[in-house]
This record gives sequence, C-alpha cells and structure tokens, in this order.
Amino acid sequence: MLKTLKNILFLALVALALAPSVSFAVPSFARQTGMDCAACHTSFPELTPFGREFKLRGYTLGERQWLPVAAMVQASATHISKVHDNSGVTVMPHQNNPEFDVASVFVAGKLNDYVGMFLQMTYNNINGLRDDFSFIHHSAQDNTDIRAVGTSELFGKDLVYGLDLNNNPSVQDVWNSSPAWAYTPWQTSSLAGGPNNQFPTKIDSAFAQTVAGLGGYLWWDRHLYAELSFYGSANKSLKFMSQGQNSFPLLDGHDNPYWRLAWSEDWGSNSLMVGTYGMRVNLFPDPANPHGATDRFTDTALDVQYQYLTDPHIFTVAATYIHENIDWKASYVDGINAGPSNPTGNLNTFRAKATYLYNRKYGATLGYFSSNGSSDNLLYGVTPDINTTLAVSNKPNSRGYSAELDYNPWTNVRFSLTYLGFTQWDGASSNIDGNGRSPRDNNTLILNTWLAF
Amino acid sequence: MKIRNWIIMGLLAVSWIASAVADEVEVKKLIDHNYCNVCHGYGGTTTSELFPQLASQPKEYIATELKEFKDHTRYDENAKRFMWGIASRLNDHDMEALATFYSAQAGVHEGKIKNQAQYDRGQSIYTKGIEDKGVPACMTCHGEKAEGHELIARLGGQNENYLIRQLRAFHASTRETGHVMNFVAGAITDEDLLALAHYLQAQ
Repeated sequence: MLKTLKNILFLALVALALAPSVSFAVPSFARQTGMDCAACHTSFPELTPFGREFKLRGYTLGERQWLPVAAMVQASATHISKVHDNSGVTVMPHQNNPEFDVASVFVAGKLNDYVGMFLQMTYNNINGLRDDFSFIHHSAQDNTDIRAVGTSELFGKDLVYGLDLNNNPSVQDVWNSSPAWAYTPWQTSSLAGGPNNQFPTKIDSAFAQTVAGLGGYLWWDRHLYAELSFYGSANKSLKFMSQGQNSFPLLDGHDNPYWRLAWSEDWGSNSLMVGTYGMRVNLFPDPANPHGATDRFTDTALDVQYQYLTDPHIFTVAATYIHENIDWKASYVDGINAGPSNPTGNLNTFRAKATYLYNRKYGATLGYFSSNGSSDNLLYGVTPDINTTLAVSNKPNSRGYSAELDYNPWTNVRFSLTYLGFTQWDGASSNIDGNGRSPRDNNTLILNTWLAF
Repeated sequence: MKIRNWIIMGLLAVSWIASAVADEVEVKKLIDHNYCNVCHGYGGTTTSELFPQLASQPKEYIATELKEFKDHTRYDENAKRFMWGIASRLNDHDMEALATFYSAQAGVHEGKIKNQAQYDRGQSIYTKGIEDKGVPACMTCHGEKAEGHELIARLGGQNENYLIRQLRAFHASTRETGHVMNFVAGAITDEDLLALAHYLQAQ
C-alpha cells in the first residue's frame, strides 16, 4: 500500500513539475483562434456549442499558424482488484507502477478560410506485452479529419456545407455520444484492458484508423445535421491514413455507407441533441484474401446528448444505443466445425454517462456500459471451464460501470482517478476464465494524468 | 483516376465554390454569422446566462468593450475564455460595424417578476441607491429604463446571473475602465446584488 502511495505521489509530482512550464502554452487550435480551450471544450474532448461550430466550420476560425503543431502526453498507474488468477498466473503486470502510456503529435489547424485539418500521430508506449512483461512500443497514424467547408443560406437560415475525409467512422462527429469521441472513459489503462466484447459492434471503433471515408454534410440553422459518407479500407493510395497499423479488417470496396442525422436545440443554458447514425459494411473474412463473398454488418444507432452550461456549473449527459445485424454470408460454413454457429446474428451496445464540472476545475463522472447479442457457440464459446471443459459462456455479453473524479488545475492539464467495475465479462457473470475468476476481480482503479501543449 | 486525385479535386472544388459565395456576403454579416451568433444569438438576443444580450446596447459601449477585449484591459475569466481571441481579429472598422449592427437590433424586455419583494428592493436600489453605503442610484447613469447611453451599458433585460457575474468582476477590478462600478460593486451586499439583478432582468 505504501509503495502504491509512493508511486502515485511520484506520478503526481512529475505531472505537476511539468505542468507550469506549459500552462501558458496551448494546443494549436487555441493558438489559431486566440481563445482558451474552455471556449470549445467543457473538459477535453467534450465540445461546447462553440466547439461544435468550430469543427463543423472546418477548424477555420482564426489566423493560420505557420506551424500548427500541438502535443499530448498521458501517463497512468493502474491497480487491478486481483492481480493473479487462481493458478497464480499474473493477469496484469506492473500493478500500481506509474507508466508512460502515450504521446501524440497533432498537426491541426486551418489551411485557408475554407479548409482545415486535424491529424494525430500517436506513439503508444504500451501497445502490448512480451512474455517477460516488458512493453511493446508502437507508433501509428491516429485520428485524421480533413474538411473543406462553405457557408450559405437555405430557406433564409444559415447553412454550413462541407466535405470530410477521415479514417474513423464518427471521428468527424461533433457530439460526444457517438463512438469516436464518447466517454468510455476518456482515459483507460493500457495495462488492464477490458472485455473482448466491451465494444462489439463494428461502428464502435472496430475500424478506427484503418479505413478512409469521404462524405458530405450539411449543418442547417444550427439545428439540423445531416451527413452521408462512404468508407473503404485505407490501403494503397490512402495508406497514409492508416500508416503504422499492422493489420486491420478489409472492407469490400470504398462504397460502404455511413450516415448521420441529428437535431440540436439550444435554449438558455441548455443544449440538447437527439440523433441517429449508422453504417453498413461488407467485410472480407480473411484480410489476406480479399476475394469472393463478404460478411455484412449493418449498424443502426440512436444517441442523445444534453449539456447544461453555466458558470461555475456544467452538467452533461450522453448516451447511445447501437444495434448491429450480422449476415455471415461468407464466414458461415456448416455451423459445427468452423465459422459462426449461425448464419446470422446480432449485437447491441448501450453506453451512458453523466458529468458534473465545477468551475471547470473539479469534475465527477458516472458511466455505464452494456453489450449483448445473440448466442453463438463457435464465436463466443471459446473459454472452457477447467473442470467440465464446457464453455463458460456462448454469449458476447459484457457489462460494467465507471466512477471518475477529475482535477483540472489548468485547461490543458487533467488528473483523474477512475474506478472501472465489471459485472459481466465476455458472457459470464462468474468464472470468466474457467478457473473461478469473477468479473469484479478485474475491477481497476486508474490514476491518470493528461497534458496537452 | 486514382481516388486520391478525386479527393483533391473535390476539396479544391468546394474551396472555389465557397470562396465565390463568401465574396457576396457583406463583411458585417460574415462577421456576425461566423463569430457572434453561436453565443450571443441571432440579432444579439440570447437566453444563455453565460453571454450578454447585445441587441440595443449603445453603439459606443459595444465598440469600447470590443477594444477592451482586444487590448486585454477587460480581463474577467469569461472575457479571456471567449472574447480575447475573437476581438484580436477585429479591426476598428469591424468593431464599428458590429457595434452599429447590434445597437440597431430590438432589445429584450422580459417583464417577468419572479419574486415581488426582491423586485421591489432591486427597484429601490436602482432608482434611489443605498444612501447609508454611499451607493448612488444606478438610474442616474444607466437611464430611467436601464436603456444605457453612449459608454454606459444597457442593463434592462440582461440575464440576472450574467449581471451578477459582471458586478463581481467589477468588484474584483477585472474590468479596469469601470472605476465607478468598482466602488458600487464593492459596497453592495450579495442579497442586494441579487435583488438588483432580478429587477434589471425583468425590465
């Protein structure tokens, strides 16, 4: 315990030592607009109405910077409830150790009054673990969002129209209820991980940084948002959008549609959005053999976001429900020996969170997530009980919650303490590894530091 | 043709169309639509308590405040967060155009009294001042109907929470040009502050 406290104290001191040196430096968008981070963010990455407008208008507000570069660093210490399984095997190494997680470099800003971009390159210090628990490091292209926009009028109301090129379905979205910028929480542990099926649906980050999507959108009267984009794998001439990604799912063609429709209403100190989004992709079962039949995934989602923005109180709620229909028309063989057990299946994700911020410095967030779907012996019955040899589950279901406390001494620095609890893990509510481990044995407490400059 | 070439052509095409459309829009309207409506509402009328009503504010007052944001002589927390950056891009002509536009818009007259006792107290402070504390009647400078004039702000219809924040900003001396207001805000109790703000919002 003493060691844990020492480590946490060390981590906090390192961050505090670094923070003052950058407290007057702000990321490239803030330098471009001359505005404080707080104008666009309640707490990074959650956007205010002004931040949404800035993004929808192509990051073009302000003066073009000669070098629109910014950086971000994250470090954490993780404590897992039960560090060994019942056979004494280490489930999560580096318990309680302060570790450097990731560093990102952003090239983000306006190119001219009508074109802007957000490019992120990330070095992941803990991309995996070797047998001796040493870290595998990795660098890759992260989120990419390039926009060209214009403004006009439609039916006497303001109209923003734009083209968007990105590498992660929903990274172009401006609400923090759709997958790419949703609270999952904001920062998690690189060491502890989560259930395999915590984010089961394809639109929920399965294609992040591996696809290229081009689409158009309309933002009318600061109320209605409509978008239609088409995605394909970011390979060949689009490889620059997935640079560094070693392997990824391969989509058939570049015409896999993504759509988004949202209605936003601002009144008084309130901002509400109700929306829907979805995607349909045809995916080759074997990325190494992109020929023949494909499996089809059709995702349909509803989402809602509410913000109460005053000074000093800010309250935000965001939730989404995603339903996925799967047609295993390529992978289904006989339902017995290979592929899925059934020719079709479905998956669902529900996620919600509520955040309170005081004076933009102190924050508390409660989150909940749940995923479930149709049972499938071959896909999900992969963990046998060590006594009976029967699978502990044949369902993709996972469920959990989070509680987080934040301290933001400056708008570009955050310390957070996050507790992640699990009540169901890859279909099982107990005996998740076949050797008596409970979901709550994977509960984690994470001290995070986040710094942008 | 490669996909990348199509994308580049698309981006260029949108840029070209957009620039052609933008040229047709008046500077005043462009500035208004790009920077101000999101927070201050169309025509400078907002129901947010974070941002002030600009509609019907005296032209000279708006222009002066914009200059103070630009030269950082107004440095309350929200001025720094929201207005320093915006004002840094405005030249004197822009400020004049914005001030002219918003001063000509119809102001808000809420007329809703939520607490009669508070309203009455606020009215008393506004019209008569607080004699034993040396606080002068606000009406003397801000006008009988809190309409303001020249460098004096219009207070009528302004959100009460916004007014309270500004009076506290005066008390903290983060609005340097408001010497009179620095004294007034320092002499007034929190209870009277609420009453005054409540009265003014109802105008």
